[in-house]
Amino acid sequence: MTDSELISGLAAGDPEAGRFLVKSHQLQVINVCLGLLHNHEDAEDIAQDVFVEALKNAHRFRGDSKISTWLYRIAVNRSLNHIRNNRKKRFLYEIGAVFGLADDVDNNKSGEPYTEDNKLESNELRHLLKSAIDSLPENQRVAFTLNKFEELPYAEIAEVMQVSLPAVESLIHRAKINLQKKLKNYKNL
Amino acid sequence: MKCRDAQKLILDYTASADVRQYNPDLDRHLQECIACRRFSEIYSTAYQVVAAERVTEENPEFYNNVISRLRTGKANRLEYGWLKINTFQFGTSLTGLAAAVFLGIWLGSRVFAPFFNGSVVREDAASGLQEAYAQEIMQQEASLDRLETYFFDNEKNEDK
Repeated sequence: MTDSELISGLAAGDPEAGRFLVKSHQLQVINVCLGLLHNHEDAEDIAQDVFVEALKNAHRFRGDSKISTWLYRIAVNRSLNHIRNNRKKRFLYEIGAVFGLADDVDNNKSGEPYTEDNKLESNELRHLLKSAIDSLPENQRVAFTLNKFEELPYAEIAEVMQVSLPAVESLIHRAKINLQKKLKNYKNL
Repeated sequence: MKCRDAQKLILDYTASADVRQYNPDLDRHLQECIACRRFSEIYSTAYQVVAAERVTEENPEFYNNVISRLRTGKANRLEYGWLKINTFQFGTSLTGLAAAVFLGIWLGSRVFAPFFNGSVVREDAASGLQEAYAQEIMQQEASLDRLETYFFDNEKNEDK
C-alpha cells in the first residue's frame, strides 16, 4: 500500500488502512519514543498514544510529508511532553514525600528498567551515554537521537522538528561537541 | 588531526549503520593517541549497548491495544512507581494543612491578641477600673483642696 493509498484509506476510515499503518510503523515509532524515554513500557505506552492521535486526525493529514515523518513528529512531541509532565509530577511527588504523603521516592530516577545484567561495565557505559544524551538541550537531544539512533537523514529531521536544514546541522554539531565534553569527563579521558 | 576532530568523527562513524568508513587520517591518529583510542572504545561500546535495547520484535497485542485505547480513551494507561501519587489525597491533604494553619492563626490571634496590645485587662473590666481610678483621683483632689483651704485659713489667722 503506497502512502497516498494509505492516506485516502485512513481518511475514509478504512480499518485495513489503520491496521496497515500501525503494523508497518509500530517498531519505528516505539524506537523513536524509546530513544528519548529510555524505558520500554513508557515507549510502548506513548507509541500507542501516537497511533491513537494519528488515527483520530488522519483526515487532517495533508500529505505534505511522508507518513513516517508525520508519525515521527507526533512521537517526538508526545515523548517530550511525557518527559516534561514526569518532571512536574516528580517535583509534586517529592513535595508530597516531604510531607509524608507519598511512598518512598523510587531511586530509579531515570525511569530505566531494572535489569539483572551483571556486566557492570556495559551498564555503566549505557548509563553514561544515556545520561550524556539526556543532559543535552531538548532540541539537540532530539536531533542527535533521530540522526544517530534512528538514522534519519538531516532533511527528514528538519521536517520532523519543523526547522531548517542548517538548523539541524547546527544542532547535531553542537550536540556532538557537548557529548564530547561530557564523555571526556568519564574516567578522565 | 586534532583530538577534537578525531572525536567528532568517532561520534559519526560509530553511529553509522555502515561499517566504519575508512579514514586514514583518523586511523593514524587513533594509533598514536591513547585518549582518542579510549574515547572510541568507550563510545562504541556504549552505543552498541544502547542500540541493542531497540525493539526489534512486534508486540502482537499492540494493534488491539491501540484500537481499544481509541475506543475507550486511556483505559490502558500504565501506573508507574513514583507516579502512584494520589492527586486527590495530595490535594485534600494540602487543603487540610492550609485550613489547620489558618485556624491556628485565627485562634492564636484571639487568645494572644491582648498580650500583643500590652494589656491583659479585658475591655469591660478596664472601663470599671478607669471609673474607680477617676473617683480616686477626684477624692485625692478634694482632699488636696481641703488641705489648701486649711493652710490658707491658718495663714489668715496667723496674720491676724
